[in-house]
Amino acid sequence: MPIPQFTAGQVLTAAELNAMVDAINAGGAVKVERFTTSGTWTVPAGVTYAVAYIRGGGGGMGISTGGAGGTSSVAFASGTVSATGGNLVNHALVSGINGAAGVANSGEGARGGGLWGGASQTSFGAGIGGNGALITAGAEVTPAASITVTIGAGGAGLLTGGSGYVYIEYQGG
Amino acid sequence: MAEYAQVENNVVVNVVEADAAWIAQQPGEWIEYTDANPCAIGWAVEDGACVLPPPPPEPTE
Repeated sequence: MPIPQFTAGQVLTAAELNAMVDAINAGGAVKVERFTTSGTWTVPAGVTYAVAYIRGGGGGMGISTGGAGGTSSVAFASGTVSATGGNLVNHALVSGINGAAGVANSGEGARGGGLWGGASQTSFGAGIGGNGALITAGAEVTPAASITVTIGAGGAGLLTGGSGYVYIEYQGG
Repeated sequence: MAEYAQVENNVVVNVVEADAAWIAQQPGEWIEYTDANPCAIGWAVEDGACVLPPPPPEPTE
């Protein structure tokens, strides 16, 4: 219910004041829809604007099989907003012992490294997969509309990147 | 939830987290992949499987 307009000098009735309080209560709370896997957001009744926080997947790390993180996106009617995944790293010394995969739904890149140089092990190499991009975008939405949300996977590799996420923030509904 | 590769012209163009029901509603070609049979953006796809690129040269000290 929209908040009504009043004229100067007007005396409000209890009913008018209560209607105004109800309107404020109905539209005042900020709500967040969280996506950790791809899906569809159905716009709640009364919601006409939303803000999306979009993180791409983190880059993976391998000897030769590292892959970039996947792109996360939200397909608003006014256009699709995308956050690209992080860059891959390929390194000859990557192993599951010498590093860490990106945490799920963090968009973090994998991290790893190691020693080489024969028996002396005098050289050290390390690499970090790129973090997924973080994009914030607002758009007008239509109640009951279906909006496609895509979550980028973490990049492939011996150490995989963390998958991305999408949060959609809105008021009312 | 699983991981899927989006394929265009036999090349992986994106990798996503999704479930099978959502993937079934999406246009285009998608294949499920696993840690044992990974896919990455830019890799070729042959007969429904991702083809790893050749390894880089060995590092020198």
